[in-house]
This record gives sequence, C-alpha cells and structure tokens, in this order.
Amino acid sequence: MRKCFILSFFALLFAAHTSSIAQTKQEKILVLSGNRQRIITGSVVDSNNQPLIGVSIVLLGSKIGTITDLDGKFSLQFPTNEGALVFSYLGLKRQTVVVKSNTKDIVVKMEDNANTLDNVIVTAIGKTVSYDKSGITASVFDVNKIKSSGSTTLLNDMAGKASGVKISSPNSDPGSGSTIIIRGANTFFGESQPLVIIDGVPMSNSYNAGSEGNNVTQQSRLNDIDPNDIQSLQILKGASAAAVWGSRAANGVIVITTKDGVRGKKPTIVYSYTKSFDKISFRHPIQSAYGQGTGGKWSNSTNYSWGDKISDRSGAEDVYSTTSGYFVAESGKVYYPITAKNSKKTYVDSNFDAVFQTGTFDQHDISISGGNERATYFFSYGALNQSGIVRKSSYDKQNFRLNATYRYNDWLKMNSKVIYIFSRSNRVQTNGETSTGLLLGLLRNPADFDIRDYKGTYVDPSGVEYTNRQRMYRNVIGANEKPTYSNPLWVINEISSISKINRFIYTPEVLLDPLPWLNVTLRGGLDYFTDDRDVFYPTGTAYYDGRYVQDTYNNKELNFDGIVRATKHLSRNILLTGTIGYNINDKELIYNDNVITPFEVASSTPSTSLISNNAYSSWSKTIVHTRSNRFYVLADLELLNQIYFSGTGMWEAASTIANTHFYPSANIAWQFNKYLHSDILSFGKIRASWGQVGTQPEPYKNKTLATTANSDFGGSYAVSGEQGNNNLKPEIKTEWEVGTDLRFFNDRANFKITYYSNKIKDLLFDATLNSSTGYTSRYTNAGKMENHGIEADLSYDIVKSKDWNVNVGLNFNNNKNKVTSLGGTGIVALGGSSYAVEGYSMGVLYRPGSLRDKDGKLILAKNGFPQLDSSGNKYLGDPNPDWKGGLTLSVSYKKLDFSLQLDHAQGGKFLNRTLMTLYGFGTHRDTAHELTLTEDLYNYAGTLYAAGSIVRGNVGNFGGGNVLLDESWYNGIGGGLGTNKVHDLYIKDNTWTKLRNISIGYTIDNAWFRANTKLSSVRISVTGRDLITWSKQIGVDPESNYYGVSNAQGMDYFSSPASKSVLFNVQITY
Amino acid sequence: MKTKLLYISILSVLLSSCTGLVKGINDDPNDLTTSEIDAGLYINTPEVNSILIHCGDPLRKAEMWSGQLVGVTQTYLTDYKYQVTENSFDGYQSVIAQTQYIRKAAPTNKLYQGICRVLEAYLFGTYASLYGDVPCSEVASGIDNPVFDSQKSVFSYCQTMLDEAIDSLKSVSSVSYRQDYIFNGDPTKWYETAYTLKARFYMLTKDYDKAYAAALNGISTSSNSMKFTPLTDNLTTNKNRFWYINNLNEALTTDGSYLMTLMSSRQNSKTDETARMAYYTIYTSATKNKGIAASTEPQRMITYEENLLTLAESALRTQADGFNIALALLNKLRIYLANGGCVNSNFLTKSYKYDAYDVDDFKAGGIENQDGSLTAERALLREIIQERYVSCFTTYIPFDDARRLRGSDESDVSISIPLNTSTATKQIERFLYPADEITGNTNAPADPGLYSPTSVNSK
Repeated sequence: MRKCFILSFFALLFAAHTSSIAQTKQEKILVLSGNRQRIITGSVVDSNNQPLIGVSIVLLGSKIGTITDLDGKFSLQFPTNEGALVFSYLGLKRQTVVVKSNTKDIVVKMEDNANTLDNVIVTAIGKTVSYDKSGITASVFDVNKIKSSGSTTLLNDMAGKASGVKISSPNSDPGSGSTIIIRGANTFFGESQPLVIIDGVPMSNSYNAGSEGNNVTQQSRLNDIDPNDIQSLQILKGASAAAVWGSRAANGVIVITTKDGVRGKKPTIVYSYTKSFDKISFRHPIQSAYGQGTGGKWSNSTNYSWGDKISDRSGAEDVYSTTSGYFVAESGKVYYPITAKNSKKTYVDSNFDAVFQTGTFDQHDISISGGNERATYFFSYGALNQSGIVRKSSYDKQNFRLNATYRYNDWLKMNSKVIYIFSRSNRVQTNGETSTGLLLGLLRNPADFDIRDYKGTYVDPSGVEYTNRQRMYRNVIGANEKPTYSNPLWVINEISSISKINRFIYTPEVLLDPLPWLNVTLRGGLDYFTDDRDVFYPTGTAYYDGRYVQDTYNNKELNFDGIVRATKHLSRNILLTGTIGYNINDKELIYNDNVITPFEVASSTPSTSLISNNAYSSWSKTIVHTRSNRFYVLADLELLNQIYFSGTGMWEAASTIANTHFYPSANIAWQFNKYLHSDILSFGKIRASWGQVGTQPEPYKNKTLATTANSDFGGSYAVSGEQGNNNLKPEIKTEWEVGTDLRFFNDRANFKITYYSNKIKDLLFDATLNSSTGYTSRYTNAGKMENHGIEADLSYDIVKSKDWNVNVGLNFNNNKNKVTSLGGTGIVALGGSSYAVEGYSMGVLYRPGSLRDKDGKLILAKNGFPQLDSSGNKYLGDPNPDWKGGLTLSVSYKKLDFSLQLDHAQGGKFLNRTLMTLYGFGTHRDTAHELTLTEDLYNYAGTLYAAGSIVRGNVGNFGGGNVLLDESWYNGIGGGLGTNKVHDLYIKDNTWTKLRNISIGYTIDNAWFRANTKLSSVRISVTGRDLITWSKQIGVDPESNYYGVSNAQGMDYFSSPASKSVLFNVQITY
Repeated sequence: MKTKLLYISILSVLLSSCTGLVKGINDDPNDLTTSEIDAGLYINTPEVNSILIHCGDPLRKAEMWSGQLVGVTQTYLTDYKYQVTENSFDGYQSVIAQTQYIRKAAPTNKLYQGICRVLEAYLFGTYASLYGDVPCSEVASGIDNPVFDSQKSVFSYCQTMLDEAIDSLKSVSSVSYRQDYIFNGDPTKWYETAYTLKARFYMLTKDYDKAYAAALNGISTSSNSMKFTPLTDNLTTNKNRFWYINNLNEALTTDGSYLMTLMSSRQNSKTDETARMAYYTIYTSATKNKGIAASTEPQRMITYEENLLTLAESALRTQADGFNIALALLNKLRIYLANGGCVNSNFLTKSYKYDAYDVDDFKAGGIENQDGSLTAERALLREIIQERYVSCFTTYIPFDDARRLRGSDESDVSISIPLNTSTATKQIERFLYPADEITGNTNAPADPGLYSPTSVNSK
C-alpha cells in the first residue's frame, strides 16, 4: 500500500518536471577560440566570482597539467594545436574546456556540485576518483543534510539517507551508539560494524559494553567526530571497493574526509549555534483505574496491580499501622505502612514527570579557515551540552581540530590533522533486564503509589534508625535494605554512571610528486583514547549491597600507509595507473575492571574507602592487541575514455590469522552513453564488480589455555575445555554486483541501481564438540551465510530555475539474508532471544511459544485457551525487514529552503516483551478494561463467569470460542515474568514509517546585508527530528532494541525510550 | 626469466616480512597457556575429576540398578524406576584430556606417567563396562569424530595401559607429593591399585586365571585401598558424595534396598552383620548419617576387600586347590572384618562377628549350604559373590557381578536382585550413550538399549 503511494507520488513529480527541462539546459563544454600560442593562460573563479586556488587543470588524455595559483590564475605549456582542458576541484562541478588553435586566455567559472551523486569519491586508500569513472558502488552523503539532521550523533544523522545502509539507534540516551548494517549481516560474533576511515586512517568505532552489559547504552566512538568538520562522507558498500582493507572490511567502509582551508583565501569564520528541545516519543500506556494488589483486592505486599478498582474507594484517609516501623523521607514526611487503602489519588503522570523531562542541547561550533599561497589551515571548536529526556542523563562534549597543509615546492607537500575530544556523560541505567533499570521500576509501579520521597531513614518498631534507605512500592517504609528492584528516582539520583572520554587523533601526511607520472603518499595515524567509567550503586540499591565499579579503557591504534602511484599512457587510448601500497596497523586495548562490593558503610559517596577489607575488591585486566600488515597492488586502466577497469590484489598477514591471506577484487565500468546521442539520457554507465573481504577472528583463540579447576579440593590447573585453534582463517565474504548509473535530462535526474549478492564462508563461532574429542568446544570456521538484494537511489531535480529548486530523492533496498550452514551445529545462540538457525535469516527470534499442529494451528486446551509448547525455544519470527526505503524532498525558493525525509521499513517482526510483562503486572492500559459479560466465559484458571458478571480483562478468541483474558491468563502463560510464555502470540509485524526530518531555513546574504554587517551570510533554520512515526507497536519505538549495539535485534524489554526533537539553528559566516 | 624470478623473490620477501611483523602478537597476555604451567600442577585435576565421576552419577545409577540403593526424589527416583535420565561422557574432557596432556608434557616423569595411565585405564574400563563399545583409542587425539572401539579392545587397551603404568611406578621411589590427591605420591599404592584394577577388568572379561595372577600383586592391605577422602573444611562440595547428594536433595537411601534384606538374611552362628548394617545404612536426611554416608567418611573406589574376593573367586574357578585357597582368602577377609576393619569407630560398639568358615560349612547341610542344593565349591562361590556384593557396597562391583553372572548363566551362585518396579521385566544391562555424542559423533553406533547385554556379558 505504502509502496504504491510512493510510486504514484514519484510519477506525479516526474510528469510535472517535463515542462521545465528546456529552460534549465546548461552548457557544460565551452568552446573558446584564440590564436596559435603555445602557452595558454587563464583564471578560475567560483560562483561568487572569487578566485579559486588549487584547481587542477589537466590536458585531456595526457598527464600535462597544472594548478591555479593564489589569484586563481594559471598558465600551461600547450603541446598540441587543439585539445581539451579538464578543470576539477573537490566539491565543484568538473568542467571540460575545448581549446582551439586560437585560444589564448580562458576564464572558467566553476559551480557548486549540487548533485552529489556524480561527485568524486574517496577510495578506501584515500585517493579521490571520479565516480563516473569507477565500477564500485558508494553512497555519498550530503554533508549539509547530515549537519541539519538534528541529532547530536553523527551515526543517527546518517540514518535513512542511503540505500542498503541500515542505521538504527537502540534508544535515545545521549551520545549512545547505534547499529550500522550495510547490505545485511556479515558475521555472527565478529566485528559487526563498518570500518571507519577518516582522512585515510582507520578510526576506532568500537562499542565497549563493559562490565555493566547492556543495562547502560554506551557511546559509539564514531560519534566523537563533529559533523561540522566533515568535508565529505561516503560509504563503500561493496566488497570490491573495500578489498584493500581485507579482514576489516566485511561490513563495508565509511570514508570520511575532514575540511581543509583554501589556499589564498582570506580567513573565513563560521559560527553556528543549535538549540534543541527533545521529548520522549513513545510511552508505554499505563492504567490508573486499578490499584496495587491481586484478585481484585488491594494489597501492598504484592508486585502486581491487579487490585481493587480505585474509583470504588471511599476517598477517605488511608489507614496506617503506627506500630510496625516507619520511614522518614528527606522531605521530612513520615510514611507508615498502609493497612487499608481509601485514597482515590493516582500518580501515573506525576511519576512520569518526575522521571522524564524535555531534554535540551546547545551546540556551538566555530571554525576559522583560510590560507596563503603555501599553507592552508582549518581550525574548529565545538561544544555540546546535552541534558537527556531522562532527568540527570547528560552528555557534554568539546572538540578541537586543526587541519593544516603546507606546500614546500612543486613536489613536496605536507598535511597534518589533529583533533582532541573530551566528553563527559552520565549514562543512567535505563535499559533492560536489570533490577536497577529505570523503566523497569517506573512501569511496574502501581498507579496508586507515589514514587517521590524515595530516600530517607527507616525506623524499625524498636526505634533503631537506618539511614539512606530506599522507599518504593515493594518496600513501602524502607524496611528492606535491598528491595527487589529500585524506585526510578533512586536510579536517577543515587546511581551514577559517569563516562569520561579523552581522545586524540593525529594524522600526518607527506605527499611527494618527484616525477610528473609518479607520486608517493606517506601517511601516519594515531588514534588514542581513554574511557574512564565510574559506576556507583550506593547501599540501599536493589540487588547490590553497594557496588562501585571503575572501568578504564585505553585504546591505541597506530597506522601507517605508504602508497606509490604511477600513471602511464600505454597508447593514445589506454591510460594505466598502477599503485602499490603497504599498510601496517596496530591496535591495542587495555581494559581494567575494578570492583568494590559489598560496602561496609552505608554511604552515598563514591569512594574506595567504603571497605576496610581488601577481600571485597577485585581487579581484572584484559589486553587485546592485534596487528595486521598488508601489501597491495592496484591497477586502474582507462580505455578509450569510456571503459574503466580496476583490479586489486592484497596480501594480508594478521596476528589473529594463521597464514597470509590473499584478497582479490576487480571492477569494470563502461560509459555507454557516448554511443547513444540521446537528449533524454545525459549519462549512462554500467558497472560490475567482484571482490573478497573478510572479518578477523577474535584474538587469542589459537592456543588451548590452562584454566583453574576444583578449587573446592585445594585447586589445580586444568587443560581448558575450549580447544585452541591455530588454524583460524578470516571469515571471507565474496561479493559480486552489477549495476547502472544513469542521468537523464541533462543530469537533472540521477538514477543508480545495483544488484548484489554475497556469500560468507568460514563464519566463526564456538562449535560444540563431541565429548570424546576431550574438549567441549572449539572456536572454529564453520558457518555459511548469504545476502543478496537490490539497491536503488534516485535523485531528481523536478524544478530547477533561478528562484525555484525542487528535488526529490528515493532510496530502496531489499536485503535478503540466509544462514546456509552452521557446520552441523544446527543452531547458534547470538545472545538473548536472537539466534542463527540454518535456513533462516540471521538473528531470528527464538523463544518458547504455544503448542501448534503441523499446519501451525493452535492446539487448544479444553476451555479454548492455547497451551505452552514445553519443547523449549522455537522459531517465532524474523526481525529483518523485507525492504527499507527512504524519500527526501528539498524545495528552495530564493533564499528560503525546505526539506523533509521519510524513512520506511516494510515487514520484519518485533517482540514487545515490555508489554507482555506489564500485562502480567496489570499496569498496562490494555489490562484495565471493565467488562459486563454478555455470555458465560471461562478464564484461564478454569473459573466460569456467568453472563452479566462485571469483570476486569478482555474477551479473547483463539479459535475455540470466546474466553475471558484476565489476571490468570496475563500472569499465566499469556504474559508476566519468566520465559515460559506464549511469545508467538505477541509477535507483531514491524512495518513503520518515520518522518526523520523536516526542516525549513532562510539565508540572508544579499549585497546590502554584506555591506552593512561585514558578514558574508546568516542562515537560520528550524528542524524537526523523528516528529511522526507510523508504527503498529504500542508504547515503543519500532527501532528500539533491547540488545543495544548488536547483531541481535527485534525485541524490547524495558529499553530506554526514543525521543523526538525540534531544533533551532543559526549560522553566521564572516 | 631472470626478471620474473626477481619479482617472485621480491614478492616472497615482502610476504614473509608481513607474517614476521605479526608474529607473537597473538600470544595471549591475559591467560596462561597450558605449557606455561608445570605438568605436575595438573595432576590433581584428573584425580579429583576421576573421583567425582567414579563416585558420582554413574555409580549412583549402578547402585540403584543392583539393589543396593533406593532413589526417592527427583532424577534419583526416575533413574531408580528405570526412567533413565541422560548420561555424560564428561570424563573424556575432565580426565583423559588432562592425563594425555600431562603424559605429553612430562614424558620422563615416571610417577606422572604411571598415575596418568592408571587414571586413564580406570576411566576407559569403567566406561567400557557400563556402555560396551566406547571411544577410546582416538579420544583427545585431535580427531573430531573418534571411533567407538569394541568393548573387548578397550579392555585390552586398559590392560596394556596398566602394565605400562606398573612398569613406570615400580621404577619410582616413594615421594611425598602434595599434588597427588589420592595417594600423596606413594608409587606402591598406585601400582597395587593398578594390579587390582587389572584383576577387576579380567574378571569382567572372564579371564579368571589372569585375574588371579594380577590380584596376587594387588592391594595388599586395607590402608592401600583407593578411596576418596573428603576434606574437612566448611564447604559441602568436597564431601562424601552420598552425603552431598542427600544434603542437596534428600534423594538416596538404603531403606528398602535388597542389600539390607540380604544382609539381615546373612546372620548365622558365625556371622553377625549388625554393626556393618548400621554402618551401611544411608539416611536421606544428610546430617543423620554417621556411617558410610557421613560427610567426611572416606568413600571406597578400588579396595583391599575387592582384591581379596577377586583372588578368592578366581582361585576357586582356576586353581588346582582352588577351594582351599578361596576359603583361606575368604577367612582372611573375615578376620579383617572381625577386627572391625570395615566400619568406622561410631559403630564398633554395635555387635559384629565374623568367625572363620570351614569346609563343612559349605557341604550340604552346612550353615552356608543348608538346603544342600549346591556342591561345596558352588556354595563357597555363592558366599564369595555375596561377600563381594556386601563388601564392595558403594562401588561398581555389585552391578558388574550381577551382569557377569547373568551372562554366564550362573544363577545358582548369583544374587537374585529384585526389580525396582512391578512393571519392569528385565534387569538393566548397560547405560545409554549420551545423546550429544550419539547425535554429534558421525562414528557413533545406534544405541543398543538398556536391556541389551554388552559383548563381555553376552551369552
């Protein structure tokens, strides 16, 4: 249905366009005439008539060329009578100028390349090539759109903007990591996220869950990069494009280039300020009609809300017991245990407001850039202060960058890029299945319990005082030092989870051009960061007797590349570029985990003095050191100016892999439009590529380890049951793809379509061994998986006139994944409910469900209720969507611009376990219906309710007639706590559409303004992020993921909520 | 051609330098690899694991299926009623993989070599006895699907192993060795045990003459018996296995067992079993146990009593003057019993009497042949088998003997153990293979089922 809508919408736009073609046709090739001089001179200016420095000018079909100087001027020894000069400059539209025998002086005006799809791309080794001359597929992101997307994290800004790239944020915790999956899953347990190459050097995008697991969503280190510093961002999706990165490239490569200053340009100062207001976007609906209790009776000794009907209460004061101890809150208010509940007050909204707020962030960015004839500089500073939608959650970040270049002479140039990032965040325990989880405590709380006054002193019946006690609905006067789970306000205010990042990235580069046909690049890279995490649970917290965890991560990645590139004309029509390169990369993570528990003192100060006995502290240290080096050869062949072939051979030796591994790849493109003199088709290219990439094994799996055993018997060493494997190979993904890039109507419509298919072999996992082998498991290359799908991107300038510009974009991908072999294991648990099962997509949901016959029909018990299939976990559904698509629309009228982006996922399954659990607790809205029965009905417990009875619950029908779904069902197999539930009945289709983005802006840069303010321009804009979501899920964002940044997906369990935002931005350019 | 060679050599130099640069990086800095630890520090692992297996789940099943114990709760009840729960081959990892590693790591240490071979033979032999054909020759050898060797070949493998063990152990002088949980580094105790074990396996294969020869060198005194001695600390997990299970589940008892019925029927003018019966009584309430299932009571594995009775039975069956040799050996055991050798000090106050038997006692009308249905030889054999059933309580001997004698149609001397349920018609002949191994090992045979005798017991 939605598909039809999108198609017809596009058809309409297409029709509207045809009338406006003629007037916008541009002349791209200028024919100039002049006299027969051998030296050609000229100048190049930008669209503002400012001279452009450093524009590359090459005589077509030769290596003769030059670049423009400080004044944008150039002069060139012209060897032939006639020819064509190609002018190119990163980010501007390439121009070809025909030089006739009489041409003397040339003035070229280069225009911004509005259509990014025909832009240059940066290859995996950091070289720019024309996308039109390449057989690889890449998604190039519009940097301006990323900046205006309205999230504080780069990853989330990229979501929905390219086909085949699925970026989903598990929740809205400030700075939290997101999962990026390009063309489907590639590994079970290996690195699941793409390799990030920034300015030619790999950058850590690690996600370290740490000792707190997924209770806390940690940050993604890619988010340290400030979107304002980015010049270009693209994703190399296919194996062929990424093959030089070998065993790190199976998940694709994100290539980021940061900004440089412009030679000879006066200092440009840009200041940008963004203010955002964020609100929770999904709330689990909680009922206010029934109180705490069970069986329709009020009780404060139960965890359920199946109590009395609140409106039936007298409304008088509650009755207290004054003899069984009491609680003195910090506010001074005294709480006695209630013995009879009379009050009609409910607190659902006030409790919610005590926990959630309107989150805000302020982002300031300032950059200064410029240069003289030899040097350029780009300096930037960014500061972000964010308060999350959960009170007390925060994310503050500051980043400094200095990118500088210096050209010593014609053949030597140096670049240096330095960035320092500092961030501090408080990561509230919002997530999932922990007794200290925020949502767990809030959503299970009965409507008639006020969560405020959560902390105080418990005084027992004999008058003994216990300070720092927690009050919550299952611990009403704080008598229990450790309640079963925590009051959400205790979680927010008393538990802290501080993460501090210090990060330094340095990329020096030396570029040598010793000969006209030869250039050499030497590039170093250092990425160093520390992540200090302090997690503190004071005494009084659920589950723990006080716990103080200090985790420190020290991560260092060193990288060196040496690249030699030679270009040679083999004949007039054959241009060969050969590249040989060497790369060495060394990564080391040192992780310390220090824990103190239990505390001897009931203090809320995070201190290492909370214990007097060292036996209560533990320390573990883990070093993860890997190194790889690779040697590669690339050959790029240009034939007849229309066929472009590229082949790569890469030999890699990595510490985790037994032998040197060879990664081949090849791609070819043919610009066929040169044979079709069509007015409609302005450009046409077909391309095909094939390549291999891999995923590295985990380190230290090569040898059998010694473990300790039988500590009860005095202890001894034992040969581990996990057998070492010294013959580990990388997981190898072999991918081929074919596609075409077409541009119509003088490049106004741009269409790319690709079919890809990949097979991944040697997938690594811990295979269970036969006992008779003497071992229990071995990490081994045993699995196989495949992906295939179509990716399509369309961009179309429907209207392009002096005042009006309208562009619409569409993207589509239907990745199909299948696990084809698990080496006889049959099923591999990926974590939680997520499994790899032979013959199914990776990550299918696997949990207990209802008993069904061969045709999938429910086998009902006698009263018409389903039964639990006691055989254990079964296949419930595939969370992977059938297809994903995106729609963008940009409209500008003079200086006013408007854009929107819709993101859509079709199909896939989702299990809302939060809802199931809340049904059992009786707090969910759906459980609060009061019914007058119109027929006799049985409940799950087998009690018959006569027609006319007034009951609480719902009428259900599982195919055996109507039944009453009440407390006995929702707390039986139909919901509640535990795993033996009929989960299949709660599996829902997860089709959704999001209005990712809607933005309106206005730019002031007219001459009067410039003259009177000395400013170049001022732009103001308003953006809405994730304002509307159309989804079938109740109370939860369809992209929410209990498993956090992980291959596992499709389930929610008290996960942190998602947010939506409105942002205001002002950008001032001086 | 020359340039080609040059290119090839440049390339190979580059590639080898590639691997050189990453060499050693993958050596685990966080954990110890096996070779970083002295082989001797591993010895306790297979010893303790061997104890836990031989005194653990398989033993309890064997005891319940030979009338010695009654299971009353949980899986012990279902096992007792022959609703068999899954077995495990965990000894291959917890014992064999360990001993094979130690043997490889310390090829010249004769004590380690000897101990390891005894432990291996002990486990393989027990598995072969319980399961029939089992993986043996290819276990822990790097083969993913080890073959199931025939039961007979496993026993002959065990005999060879034990011979090698004895050779090694005899060349070692006694040392105190803390890492040897079982015998504290005493090579004599180890090789005597090895002989008794040889005799046990020869009995299983009905090579009675060889059993006699081996047992002659077997355990020579009760203090050389292989026993599991629990530790005396506060933990529950390192205690007597019967106490441990009852402490967890109140699962096992001798109440209602055929053992108790038989022992009370053995009272005669020369015999008073009162003290031994009291010592043998196992109460489901763990703390009530002061005898064989008390928390720190040592648990029998391979004993002096077993060796004496193996000698007696095999002498009677094979030796020229077998009757007299056997009678003397039986009386040697009875003297040991009469000196309170079988019970702990809590039970010495109870009455017990084990006067020596003479020839007449086994003749028709004698106290051990009252109905006169047997010859004196068979009557003596019946008494020796009964004594094995009683003396070897809490070991595999009663289960092994019952199956052996059924296999050789010796119902005149065997013990008529009743079935545990009214619906059952046959006694259990073997254990079921672990399901994981059956489904996972491509060389696994079809399971012959609980009631199919293993090849040594087939008629």
